[in-house]
Amino acid sequence: MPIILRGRGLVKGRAEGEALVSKQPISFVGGVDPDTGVVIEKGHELEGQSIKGRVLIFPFGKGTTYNPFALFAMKKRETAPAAIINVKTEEIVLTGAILAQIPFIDRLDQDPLRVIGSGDYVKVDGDTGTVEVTKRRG
Amino acid sequence: MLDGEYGAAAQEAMSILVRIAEAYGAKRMVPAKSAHVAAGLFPEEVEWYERLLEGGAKFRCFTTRHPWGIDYDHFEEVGTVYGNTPEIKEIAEMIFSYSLKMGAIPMGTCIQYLLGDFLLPGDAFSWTGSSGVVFANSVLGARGNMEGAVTNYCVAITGRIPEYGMLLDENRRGKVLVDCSGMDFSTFTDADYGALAFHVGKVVGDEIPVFVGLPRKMTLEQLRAIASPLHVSGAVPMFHIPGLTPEAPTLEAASGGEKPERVQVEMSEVKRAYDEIATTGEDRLDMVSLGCPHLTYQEIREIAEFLEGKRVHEGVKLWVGTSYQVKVVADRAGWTQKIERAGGLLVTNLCMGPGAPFAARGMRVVATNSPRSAYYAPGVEHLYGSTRECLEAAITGRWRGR
Repeated sequence: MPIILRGRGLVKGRAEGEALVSKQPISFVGGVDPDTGVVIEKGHELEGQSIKGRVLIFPFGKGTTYNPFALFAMKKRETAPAAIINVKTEEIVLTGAILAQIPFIDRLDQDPLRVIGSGDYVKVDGDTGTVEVTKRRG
Repeated sequence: MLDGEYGAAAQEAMSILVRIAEAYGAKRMVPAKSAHVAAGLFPEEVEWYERLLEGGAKFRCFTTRHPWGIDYDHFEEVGTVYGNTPEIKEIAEMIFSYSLKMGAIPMGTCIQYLLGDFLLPGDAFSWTGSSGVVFANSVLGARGNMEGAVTNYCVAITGRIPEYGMLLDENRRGKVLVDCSGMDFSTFTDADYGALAFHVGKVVGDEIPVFVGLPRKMTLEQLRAIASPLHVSGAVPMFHIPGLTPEAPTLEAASGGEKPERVQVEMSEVKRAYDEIATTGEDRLDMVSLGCPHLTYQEIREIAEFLEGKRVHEGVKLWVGTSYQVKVVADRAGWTQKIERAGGLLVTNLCMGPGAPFAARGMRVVATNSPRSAYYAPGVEHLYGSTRECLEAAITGRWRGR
């Protein structure tokens, strides 16, 4: 049975994909290669992994003012995440997701960093703020 | 604006601001006194600016432009963070020209608040560049949040700001009393102030510090040296200095009548911060960078006077960064010539921090007087010390540090 989480839909739209979970904040400028979607920040727990097409789950954003443009550029280069879930958003990731039209949810009724694991299959509905999680087998 | 009466650009910008307002629970929009806009130099951004222009985008509040990354006097030699090709220059020029069309004042600096982007206590602003935001909140008493480039544009286009966070009285109170009274400030350098603020940012996290025990009189440069690192090691939006900053006539006023938590700062902690800011212990260096944030008239003059009759060491670059308005004055005064005769470069319209092109120019070890640049400038290792220590290293080619 899938797990249903409810939160706040900040950017509308539906998307699904394999989850990629980071307990650390993420900066898209300097932290992710926009041409490949691979995390390049040295020492980051996702270093070397690709966020492309994944449902990207992290606590909140960090880094520079240009992060919204990085998300927008990655969307155009088809390296952006399919959807984003934050524990608690801030305005920089929010405006990036709006500009890039990436479904975006925060404030779920359970901690997504605990309930969702990398590799789980996740359906995100930004219209209703609903997240459906199917745990990876094994 | 939301229904499109003011054009498609104002409609899109307002719809983004409304979503921010909803996310933060802002009850209303207030008039913006100033916006400060920047670009990330992604080619894809151009599409957004073109859409805004087609939709009739016109800045509705006083808006200034952050550096757009082209030093017109030394583009080949300096380049951008993405190199010095004609293609990247064309993108930077194009994005710049769009902001000009929308009505930006092309200041090309991060110290716009010193060069005519004038704010009074209570004025609402949306600015790129955390050091300016901390300075304006703290020293000018103006009100702004750390906001991204997209929000800055939306505020400029609508002339409105969602009223949340630092725009509200209750979020501006000092929560942590930072007691510096045990320290001797008579010998404090710019780097000592930077290291002190770096340490404090780490200690207070996202709370607002109230400094006591600092010298009774402080220069603009010292206040800026405190403002700049607070949002690097921490997420500090402002600070108070009772008796000095406008919202802190007294300690009680600064903390809103509540009793703040107390933290004592020792000189040993300031010294330790030096080691945390520096990312390498090498004594060889490729470059000295001064100018994050951009330097003031007085700082340029001091550097020029120090360099008179000296010569930058073979194989070391010295870049001194400021705005081109300051450079006009430096040219007239002869400071530029003194710096360049010694082998340094006075660079303008260039970010010396997060957008610095040091690695793109093949630099590996860079000495700086800026904790912010040491943290953000991409792709290089950093040594950290005072302006004087940095300049001496530029001359000798060796880092002696402290």
